[in-house]
Amino acid sequence: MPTKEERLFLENIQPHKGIIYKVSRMYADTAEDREDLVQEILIRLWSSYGSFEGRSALSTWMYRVAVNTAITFLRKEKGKPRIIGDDSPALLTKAFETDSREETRLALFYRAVKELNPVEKALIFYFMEGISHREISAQLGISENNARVKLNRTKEKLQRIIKTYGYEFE
Amino acid sequence: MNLNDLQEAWDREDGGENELRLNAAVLKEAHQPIDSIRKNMKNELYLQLAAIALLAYAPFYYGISGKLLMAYFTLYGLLVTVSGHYFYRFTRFFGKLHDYNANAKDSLYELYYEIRLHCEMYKSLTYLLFPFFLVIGGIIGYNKRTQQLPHEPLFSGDLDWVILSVLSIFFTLIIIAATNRWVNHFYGKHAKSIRKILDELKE
Repeated sequence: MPTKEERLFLENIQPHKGIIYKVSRMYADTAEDREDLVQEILIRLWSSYGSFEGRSALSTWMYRVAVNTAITFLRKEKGKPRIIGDDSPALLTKAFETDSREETRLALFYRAVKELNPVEKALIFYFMEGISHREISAQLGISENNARVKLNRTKEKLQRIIKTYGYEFE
Repeated sequence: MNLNDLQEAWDREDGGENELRLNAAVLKEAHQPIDSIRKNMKNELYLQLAAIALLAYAPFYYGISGKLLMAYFTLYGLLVTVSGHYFYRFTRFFGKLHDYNANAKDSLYELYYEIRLHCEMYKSLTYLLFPFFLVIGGIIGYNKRTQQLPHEPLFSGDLDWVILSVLSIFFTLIIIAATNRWVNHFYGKHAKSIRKILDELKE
């Protein structure tokens, strides 16, 4: 049974739970790892919650803790293949050809993101969240110019990866 | 279509009906480098602690007495003091929470130096303990030898001293090499992967 403090904490972060799920989907390859990463992020958020002073928005703080946790996340059983089941590019591309739903495109996007390095994943995540270059630079601890250059390069790299699946993002 | 076209689907991603639940029991293994290092180092330090505790009984088991017993426990006292200091520092490391609130670069640097620092501490503890174990082993061996052959001199000539010195140096070098390899293989790899991420953040 969660304590009163835990319940209050979970209620507060519930409206922003998408942050946790999206970061987990970007950084973990298997369903099992995703579940573990969600839990790992929640635990880090909970243990840091006392030091959150409310000087920034709750979501800004959550971005930081979630990305910091995911960047150094260790996968389970490293010997396992990274691509599994319905996440494979061939299946996703086939699904894309027959079904143009946004979810399928998003699945293809997530599949391509998995080929990026941890910093590139963070940049794309912040970009998709609509975070400004200035804010990305503050979250990652790099200069604004560096954030802009790296983000542009990462977007190009992502498009190149998607192209290898037989599809093209403009 | 470009990445902006995915925005609507991306914004809808909120984990669906899933309720957030804190459940640390789900995590069956350490998923953070610092947790993995702490878990393994803790187990190894417990073994070293057990070995040190066992050494307190060695003189009684081997029948060491008199001045040799005094020398043994003087050395043992030093061993306990030195290792006590290190174990205290390791205990603080095991209990310290890593700061995930900082920006990614600061958080990673802190993690990197924390791991490097404790790898070096772990190595220096092993280097420090080894001479103690060597001398304590020597005392036990000397005692056994004098009990079995009380009237024969321990060393028959200068060559024996040379052999003893060469063997000590040889074993010390083996221990240093083995410790370095062990620490770099099991713990250093985490520092290396964090260093790689930090390099990605460079201008």
